[in-house]
Amino acid sequence: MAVKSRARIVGAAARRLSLAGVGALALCAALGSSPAVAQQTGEVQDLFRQVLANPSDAGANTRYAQAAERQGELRKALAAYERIILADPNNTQARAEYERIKAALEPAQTHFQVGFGLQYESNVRLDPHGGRSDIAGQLSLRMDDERHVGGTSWRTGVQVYGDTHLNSGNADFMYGSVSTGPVLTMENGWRIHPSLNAEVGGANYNFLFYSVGLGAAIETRGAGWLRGMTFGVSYADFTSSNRTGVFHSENGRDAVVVGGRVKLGWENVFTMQDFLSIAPGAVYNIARAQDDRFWQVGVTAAYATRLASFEGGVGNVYLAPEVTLQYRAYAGQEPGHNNSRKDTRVVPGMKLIGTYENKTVVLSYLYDHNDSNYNDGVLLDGRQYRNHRVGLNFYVDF
Amino acid sequence: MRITLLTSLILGSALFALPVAAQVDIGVAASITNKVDGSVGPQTKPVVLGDRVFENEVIRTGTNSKGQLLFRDETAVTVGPDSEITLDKFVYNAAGNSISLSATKGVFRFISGSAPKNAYEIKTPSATVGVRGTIVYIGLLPDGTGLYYVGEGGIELKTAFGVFSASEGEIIVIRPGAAPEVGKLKPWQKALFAAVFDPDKKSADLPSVPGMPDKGNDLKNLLRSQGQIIDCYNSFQSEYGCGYGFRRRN
Repeated sequence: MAVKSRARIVGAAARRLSLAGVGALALCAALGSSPAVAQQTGEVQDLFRQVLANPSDAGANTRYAQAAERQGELRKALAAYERIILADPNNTQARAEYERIKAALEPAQTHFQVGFGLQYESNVRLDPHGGRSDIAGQLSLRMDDERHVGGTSWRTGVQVYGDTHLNSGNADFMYGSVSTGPVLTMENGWRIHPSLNAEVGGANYNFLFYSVGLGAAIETRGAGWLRGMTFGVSYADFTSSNRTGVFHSENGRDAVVVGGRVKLGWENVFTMQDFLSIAPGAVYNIARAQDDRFWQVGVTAAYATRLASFEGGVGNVYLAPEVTLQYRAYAGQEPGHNNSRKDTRVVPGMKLIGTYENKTVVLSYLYDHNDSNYNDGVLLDGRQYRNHRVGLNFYVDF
Repeated sequence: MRITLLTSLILGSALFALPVAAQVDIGVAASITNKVDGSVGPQTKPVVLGDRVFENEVIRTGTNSKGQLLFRDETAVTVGPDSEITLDKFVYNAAGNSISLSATKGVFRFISGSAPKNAYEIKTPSATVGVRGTIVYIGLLPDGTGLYYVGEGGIELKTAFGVFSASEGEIIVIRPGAAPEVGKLKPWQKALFAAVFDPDKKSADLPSVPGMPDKGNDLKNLLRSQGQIIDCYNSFQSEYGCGYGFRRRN
């Protein structure tokens, strides 16, 4: 094999150099490579020579990777599987092995993010007649952690959020959630993250609801358009003692919620630095009360493109338009109506995003536009409304 | 006349062969994506899969291009887009080991091979990297900022401000004229390394920051309520933040 390798060295060099130098190069290569070859002994080295002679050979790379892994040299296995994927992006077995090795090598990471900002809403109560505008201050904290626990990747996320309004104190909202579960590599290289989730919410500084559930996120790999899928089932329990303000709570809203969403994505669609995301999803809210029970389908399309870059890519400005379309159908009828309620919601928007190192600023505008067949008779808040939302938010990552 | 011609041919061949004889084969181009060039002396040629690479060769990649270089000691260097690296020195034999590279711009992933760790040296404009571990990511930005992320093991950086070390999961950032800072990998830094982090990427990525469209790469983004300040794990009722969804009744 060493002879074959040297012959290939000479052959390749000959193509790149003048004919006059071939003899001298052959002599040099032969002399120069001998000590190194002598030093490479053992199974891994033998297989490595095969790879060196034919680096795109999937079989040679696989055997080399397996031998390297047996010796505990995962990094060499990682590079070998990467070579196979680059030569054949559809090799799902190599991709699965690559993801497995990559996950095993990944250092533990804990990521903290603090966010704060202001949000203007033209119709904070979602009043059908226009309502009252208000400004809210917002604060959020999040922690994302991924590490190896007993040989398995384990991911945990914690979030805390609170807002306070300038005038509408009864619109203040607080929220906290935690999610934890393993990250497992599937046979085709995709990763699945089953998780146990819990959340709690409060309104007007009083308890509003809690929820517990199970979720599963499937993270696809590769450059294809299918980027991931999320499924979840949870049970939400609402208090019956928080009926004031813009939040309405009653036991009838207690529900088992089943939902799923698919993420489709494309990069470099129109420019070298852009991304298009389309995310259809469906929800079935099996609420205790018939008129709170609904099913919903929707899709969000979002696009982002880089407008400007400075300091060699450390700072960037992005423009991100988006639109959400949503249809919701309730099971039961509310008093004063002959039909069940059906809502159609359209929310176009635009974001201007600036990033500099670990800091992000987002200037956003959303026009929340909801139409309902419950648009006559007893016209309640949240049925048919228009709400302009302008936000200015800052985030810092640690 | 015949003797003169023969003498000229011999002399000419010897002179022409002189720079060629100095070339030492050190490995192979193990994967090539799009445009990768190699310069040995004055010659610049496209590098294709399976081509040998040589001591003192300068490797340059184009936009949306990258390559993996595999050296004879099993070192694998992934060269990202718009990058340039010189393969300065490669000694790997029973008499000793010394492997030196000079990275001047772009992004790289360095996976060390079988030579002793102290044999490796990576020179960059702002620091010389001594490899104390096995996987190192290097980003050299156009403004002179250098990023050195340790994927496994550790590194030691010799800089104008002294020697700095980082261990697994840490990154050292050196801005022009400023002392190095050791910290954790940030989303914007990870986005810059995308082409050498992920075999499917050929360029820097858009960072996963608030407000960005969901790329669906991880759970937090999959469940993120499209740019809102807060996610909503279980309450799938709301597309626009948990609290907002509850306001739909009064």
